[in-house]
Amino acid sequence: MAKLSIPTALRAYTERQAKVDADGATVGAALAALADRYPDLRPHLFDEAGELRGFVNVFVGDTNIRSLAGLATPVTPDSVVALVPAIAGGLR
Amino acid sequence: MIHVPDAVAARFAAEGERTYPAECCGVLLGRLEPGATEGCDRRYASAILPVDNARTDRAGDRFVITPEAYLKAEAAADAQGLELLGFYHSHPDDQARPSDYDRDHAWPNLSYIVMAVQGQGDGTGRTTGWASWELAADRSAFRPEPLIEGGLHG
Repeated sequence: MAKLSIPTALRAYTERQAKVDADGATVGAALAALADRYPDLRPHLFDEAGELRGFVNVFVGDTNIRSLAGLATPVTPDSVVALVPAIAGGLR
Repeated sequence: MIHVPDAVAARFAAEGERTYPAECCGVLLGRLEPGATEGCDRRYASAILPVDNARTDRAGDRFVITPEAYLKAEAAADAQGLELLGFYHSHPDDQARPSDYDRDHAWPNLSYIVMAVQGQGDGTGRTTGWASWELAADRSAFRPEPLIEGGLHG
C-alpha cells in the first residue's frame, strides 16, 4: 500500500482525485494497481511492453525512483509516491 | 477554454522579454471547472510561477521544467488553494504557435500558452502576441484554446 499523488494532467483519468491509495509492496505494483483501477490512465504511464514511459517521473518522497530501485523500489503505507510529468518544449 | 486576465498576461509577457533571447517558461495557476462547458474544462488563470529554464545548453530554442520544479509548483498551487492549469513559454523571434517539438512533449488536459517575442535590434525583445493551446486527448493535434477574455493575443 502507498499513497499516490496524481499530477493535474492525469487527474482527468482518476475522477479528479489528487491522492489515491493503491495496494502493492513496490512502486511497480502500486502503479499497476492504479492502472487496474483507472484503465484509461494506463497508456499514459506504461508503454506496450509494460515499461514506465520516459516522460513520466516517479518520486518516492523527494527521490526519483531512477536513483533508487526503479519500479522495484519498496513502498510502505506511509510512502508518498508522486507521479511527475516531464515538461519540455521549445521552438525547434 | 481559458480566462487570462490582462494582469496575468502582462506578467508572462514581461517574463518573455526578461529572458530574451532565451526562452522563458513557467506555470499557470488558477481555478479549474472540469467539464463546465459542453464537456470542456474551463480554466481561470490568476497567477504565474516563473521557473528557471533548465535547458541551459539550448535556452534559445528549448525549455525544460525539471520534475523538482514541477513538484514545487504543485505544492505552491496546493498551498494557495489553486490548481496547476498549464504552462507558458516563449518563442524568441518566432510565432505564438506550438512547434512539432512542443506537441511531441505536451500533455492533454492542460493549457499551453506560447508567446512570440521579437527582437528590437538593440538586444532587447518585445512580446508581440500569445495564444493558448490544448493537446487533443489522443495527441493527434495541438488546437487553439478559446479565450474567455484576454488582453494582447494572436
